[in-house]
Amino acid sequence: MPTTRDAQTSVHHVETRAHSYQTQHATWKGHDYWVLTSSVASPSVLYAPTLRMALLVKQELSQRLRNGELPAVVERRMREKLSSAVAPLTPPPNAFHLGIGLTRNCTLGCLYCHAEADKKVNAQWPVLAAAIEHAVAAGARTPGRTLSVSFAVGGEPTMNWPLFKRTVLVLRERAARSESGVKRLFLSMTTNGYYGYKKQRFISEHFDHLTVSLDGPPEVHDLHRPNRAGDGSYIVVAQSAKYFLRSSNVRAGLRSTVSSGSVELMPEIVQHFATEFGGGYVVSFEPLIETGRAQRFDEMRSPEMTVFEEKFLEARKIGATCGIRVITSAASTNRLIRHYCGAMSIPSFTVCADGKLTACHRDQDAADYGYGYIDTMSGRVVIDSKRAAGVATKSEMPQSCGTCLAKWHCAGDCPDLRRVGWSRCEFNRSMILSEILTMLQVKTRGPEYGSPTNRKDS
Amino acid sequence: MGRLQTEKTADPEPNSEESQVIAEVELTFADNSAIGEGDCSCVCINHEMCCGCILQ
Repeated sequence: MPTTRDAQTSVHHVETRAHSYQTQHATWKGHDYWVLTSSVASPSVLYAPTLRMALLVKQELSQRLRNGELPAVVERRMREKLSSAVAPLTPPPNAFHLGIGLTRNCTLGCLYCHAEADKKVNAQWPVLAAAIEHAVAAGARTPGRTLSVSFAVGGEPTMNWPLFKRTVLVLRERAARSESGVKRLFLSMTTNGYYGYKKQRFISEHFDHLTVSLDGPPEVHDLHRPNRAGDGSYIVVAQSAKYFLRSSNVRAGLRSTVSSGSVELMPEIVQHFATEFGGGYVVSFEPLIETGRAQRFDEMRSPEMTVFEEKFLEARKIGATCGIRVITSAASTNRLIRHYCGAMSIPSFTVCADGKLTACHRDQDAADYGYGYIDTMSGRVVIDSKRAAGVATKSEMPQSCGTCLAKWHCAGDCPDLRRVGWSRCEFNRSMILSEILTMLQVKTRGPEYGSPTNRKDS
Repeated sequence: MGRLQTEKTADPEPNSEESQVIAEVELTFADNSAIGEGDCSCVCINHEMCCGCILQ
C-alpha cells in the first residue's frame, strides 16, 4: 500500500550541457528527496542524499512518484536507510581557526584582485601577539586541542617578510610549549609564489598546506597576474610551485582563477601543469568575480558558467589521466554540508591588519562581517556579541534554497558571493545532476561510464 | 569523500513493483570534519583544498 510523503512537492528545471531535467522535491520523515525526470530519456532518478540513496527507476514508478505517491518499493528502501541516514556537517568543531591579515600590500598587481592590494598597511605586532595568545588558548580548549592558522585577507602574506617570518616562528614556538595545551598546529596559506629559494624553503619547512595561485601557462598567468611593474610573473611563480609541489614537507596545490579569456583553456591548463609539475596534487579552478580591480579592466570578465562547466569537466577528465585532482568550490556530491564555509565559524575569527575581527577571510577591513577588535593596550580580544550573532546568520543557508537539488552540497554557496550579487546556482544544480547521473550510469553500464564528461542519456 | 557503493539489483519478478527499480546507489560521505583529517588542512571550503577565497 503506497504511503504519502511529508509535504507537497515543488518543481524546478535543471538544464545541463547534455540534459534538460525537471526536479520535483518532497520530504519523507524530514529527509529531502527529489525525483529527477529527463525531458528525453524515460528512466527517472530518485535522489535522497541524507538517506544516502539514489535510484534509477522506470517510467511507471516515476509517474507515481511525481503524482505524490511514495510506492512501497521506494518507502521500504527509505525505511531501511533511516538507521544509516546522515546529517549534513557543520563547520569543523574540533579546532579553533585563526585567520591573519598581515598586510594589505602585494608584490603582484593582479588585474582582478578583489582587495586591490597595493596599500602600505601592515599589521602591528601587538595586535598579532594578542591574536596568537588568544588563538593558542582557544585552540587548547577545543575537543581536538587543535589550532589552525591561515594567512589571508587582502594582501600577499609574504610581502612583509620580517613580519611574516616572525609571526610564523612565534606561532610554532608558542604552540610547541608543553603548557600551551595545543596538540596540533596547522599552518596554511594561499600565496602568490612570487619569491625565491630562501623564502620557498622557509615556507615549506613551516607550513602544512599551501595553495599557490597560478592561473595557467605564461600567456594566461602573465595577463592575469603581472607584477607591480606590469611584467610577467609566471617564471618565478612556476618555480615556487614546482618547489612546493615536490617538497615532502608541505602539501601544496594550485589555484587557477578563470576569466572569460581563459575559460576555454581549462583543459590545456591542466595539461600544462601536468607537463611542468607532474601529478599528485589538487588544482582548484575558480571563476573570476567582477569585483575590485577587475571592474577597471575590460579583459577581466567572469567566464560564462555553462562554458566553465563544460571545460571544467573536460579538465577534470584530463586531470584524472595524469594524477591531478581537479576541483572547484561549487556544489559537489563529495560533501554534505550545513554551512558553505568553515571560515565563517564564530568564535573562530580572522584578524585584519588594523586589528579588527571578521568572520570572512576576504573581508579585509571587517566592513561586512566584522564583530570585534583587538585592544592593543590590554591585549584583549573584544567581541561585539550582537554583531557576532548577526554575522552568524549570514552564513546560514538562505530560505530560498529550501527545495533546491544542490542545497545539501553547497549550503547556499559562499555568503560573500550572495553579498556581491553573483550567483552560480544553475551551475551548482547542473554539477550535482551530472554527478548523480554519472553514479547511476556507472552502476548500470559499468565503470567505463564513470568519466565526468560521459553523460549520455540513460 | 562522498562516493558510491553499488547495491543489488537481484532479478525481480517481471512486472513487479521491484522490477521498476533499474539501479540503486548507496552514497557515502566521510566524516572528515576534523581539520587535517580530510582532503583539506584548511577550513575554507569544507573538506576540499582551500580555494584561496572564492573571490580572488
